[in-house]
Amino acid sequence: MTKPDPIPARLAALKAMSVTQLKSEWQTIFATAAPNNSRAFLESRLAYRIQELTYGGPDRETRRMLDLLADEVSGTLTRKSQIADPRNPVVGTRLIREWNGVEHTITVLRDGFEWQGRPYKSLSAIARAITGTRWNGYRFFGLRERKRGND
Amino acid sequence: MMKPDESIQIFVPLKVRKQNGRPKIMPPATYLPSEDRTQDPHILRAIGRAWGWRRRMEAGEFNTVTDLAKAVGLAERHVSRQLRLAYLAPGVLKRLVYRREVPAVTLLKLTDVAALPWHEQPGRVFDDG
Repeated sequence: MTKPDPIPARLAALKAMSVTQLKSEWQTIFATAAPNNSRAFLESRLAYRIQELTYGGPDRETRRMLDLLADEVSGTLTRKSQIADPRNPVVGTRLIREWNGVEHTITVLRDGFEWQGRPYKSLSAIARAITGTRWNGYRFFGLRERKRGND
Repeated sequence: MMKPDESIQIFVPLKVRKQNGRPKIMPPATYLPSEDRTQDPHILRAIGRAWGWRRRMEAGEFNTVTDLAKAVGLAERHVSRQLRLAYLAPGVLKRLVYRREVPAVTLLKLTDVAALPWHEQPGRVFDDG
């Protein structure tokens, strides 16, 4: 490096600025008026922008993953889920359930379950295929904790 | 059957750490992370939600965090803290959500780390410093 990194100095300068100075800095960097007078907000947002202009923001694959996660959380994701259900056991776990004398083995996949060679999205779907009635899949396979007071 | 003196003992080094109030077993340091994509779903969910809020804020949907908090029906203090997750350093976000590396700190601590200069963040979030 020929020059010292100017970023730490610029971030330190932000901390020393008054709110008025921060707002004029905002005008310079974003080319719009500052949205409010909160010094904490202005300072952190400016600090982020300064670093982003120098080092770059999240790369494409990270942004894509963040977009997928955001869509999934807001419930508008139409593609397969990225976040594993926290109730699911570790991928590859086999669940065994006996029903009417027949033993059924289910394998936990990364984004679903496998039963009789076919993928299923939910345990409830498998439980319904086995029993013909609607069950809570986690309860049917004994993954749901008993209600307190029952044990 | 093996006789007792023929038995094999295997030691697997594991660390147990409190994470979000629950004990969590951490893999050994040499374990290659994220092949099975097992980031804590709570962390993915929180970061994804923050990212969604960030997109809406930057699209100009809301003027202030107060408006956003009203729209999502959560306390403003909570929203403004959780929103910071979307402003973690890009490198840290990549390791958390794309490479699914497990952070060494709680979600609450992550929101604090987001205010630090970017080059200080990886050392605070992950064990490798």
